[in-house]
Amino acid sequence: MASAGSGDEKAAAAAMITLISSDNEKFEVTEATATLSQTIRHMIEDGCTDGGVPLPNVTSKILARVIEYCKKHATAAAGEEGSSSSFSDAAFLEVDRAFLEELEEFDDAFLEVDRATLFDLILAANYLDIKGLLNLTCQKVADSVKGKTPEQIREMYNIVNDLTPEEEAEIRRETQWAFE
Amino acid sequence: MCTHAIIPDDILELILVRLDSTACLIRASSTCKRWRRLIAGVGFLRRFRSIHGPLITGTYHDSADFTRPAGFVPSPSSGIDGRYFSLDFLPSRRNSGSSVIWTLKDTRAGLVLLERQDSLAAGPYKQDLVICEPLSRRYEVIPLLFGITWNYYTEAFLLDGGGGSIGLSNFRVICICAGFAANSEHYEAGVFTSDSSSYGWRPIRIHGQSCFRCFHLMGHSNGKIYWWVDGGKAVAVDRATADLAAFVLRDGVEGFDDDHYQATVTTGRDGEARIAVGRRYGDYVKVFAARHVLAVAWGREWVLEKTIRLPAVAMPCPQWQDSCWRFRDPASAGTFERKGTVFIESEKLLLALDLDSETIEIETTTVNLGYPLELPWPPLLRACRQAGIDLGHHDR
Repeated sequence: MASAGSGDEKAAAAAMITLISSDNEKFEVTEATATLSQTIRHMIEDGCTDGGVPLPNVTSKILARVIEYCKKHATAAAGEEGSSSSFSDAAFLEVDRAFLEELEEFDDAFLEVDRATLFDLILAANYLDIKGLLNLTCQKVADSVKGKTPEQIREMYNIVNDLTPEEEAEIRRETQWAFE
Repeated sequence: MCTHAIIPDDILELILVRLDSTACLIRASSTCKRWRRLIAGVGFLRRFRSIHGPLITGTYHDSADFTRPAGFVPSPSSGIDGRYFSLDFLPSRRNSGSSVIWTLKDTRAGLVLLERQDSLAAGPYKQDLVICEPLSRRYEVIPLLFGITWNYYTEAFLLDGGGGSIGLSNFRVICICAGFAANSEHYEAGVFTSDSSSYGWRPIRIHGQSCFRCFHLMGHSNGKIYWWVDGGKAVAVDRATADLAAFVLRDGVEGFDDDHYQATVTTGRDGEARIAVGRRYGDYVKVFAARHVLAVAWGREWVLEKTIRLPAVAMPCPQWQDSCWRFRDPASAGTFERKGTVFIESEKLLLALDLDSETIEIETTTVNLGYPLELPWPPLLRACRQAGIDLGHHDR
């Protein structure tokens, strides 16, 4: 499995990066894994990763999950780079289909977290600038709102209703069709 | 603590832009003021639209006896109750008090355009146009103001207003009327603008001419509507910009006079418009394609692409009457279109002429497509503006 990527991964394995969570836990990861984060990629390029990368906005609990995601997806990215220098449809098709399916299953399982963790993952993905993870987690929240009433949405996400009953009634009048 | 409050605005927008439908977006916009402010932002709405595209809610069809405004058939996939699109809010009578006849003229985005006509007398000024937005149950009456006093035929299409968008306060209508004025029968055409600075009708003049012996609809292609006008001229209007262009079709030095020639338009398989011209009682169809050149209207010039001889292609079809045929009338409601194909009527037959393979087949499709209605865009989000919420026009 993922035969296309294993060679590149070994080559990259030489360079290891230390990530330090807000609660001072250290995580050793390969450069290939770490550079899925554009924020860390830029730090590496600027040569300021000696002695570890402090991430004061990310707890060890969340960082562990983010690294789990990046490890899985770095392998996929290596597979793509192995077949073509730039991301194209043709290159995409050459990636082992079974591996893509496995990746999807991984993503689905990865998102099986409580809402607080999901929001923490979104904030971490945004801070670390990991596009794939940000898309994935934002889509998960958007999907959870599907078919819900405003009241249900408020309950799910602890939103305080600061609209007056008059304003709510006016919104209903204006767009009644959307509430049935 | 699980709360949306820890999520900054730009990330919350990333979530909201992924909501699966406009209905969902509207429900989300009524959870709290912050969500409503973000969703009502011009930049946000533009991004949402570019991801989700328009939603067809269903189609309108004229009522059986035309005494009521058109009926609505909801699309099963839209998920919106069809009764919100009923036109029962339109006034059933004109000022005169007599009952009226309703005919659908066009739909565009979330708007419907109908003609309202006195059922009793076909006299002067007995009809007008009614434009409405079914979801908000609002309408506006547009009086027909032409030199024609005895009008027996009206054709009207909705065009976008300024800025390439369309709504009840920002639209244009192109209208063609046939009738009598000063004892002569002719066509007149005009464009109506809803914008308050230029509100009203402007007559269409082509090379100084504003009365026409012939102003026949050829059809639609690529967002433009085409007509066949006096002296072998074609007129086209762009539905998004309301730009008008007139051009002459020529076969060598000869033009085509409207007494002897008819024309129709279709979209070729290459995605470009084709105009097919045929001589009445003739036995050939000439196909014109637009060639991109500089220094002519819209940078295009129409050139003869091929001539198709009908007896040669019509042979496999025994019922073919070569002496009497015409292009199908594109004005009839719910006509279907097919790339690279023009439709010909001969006796009781509808035939499909394939312009590429030069073959004719008997057309068996009889569906009435009706007039589709999209969900209005942007959605109505006015309710809290009065409450003093700053509906920020923040854009990126």
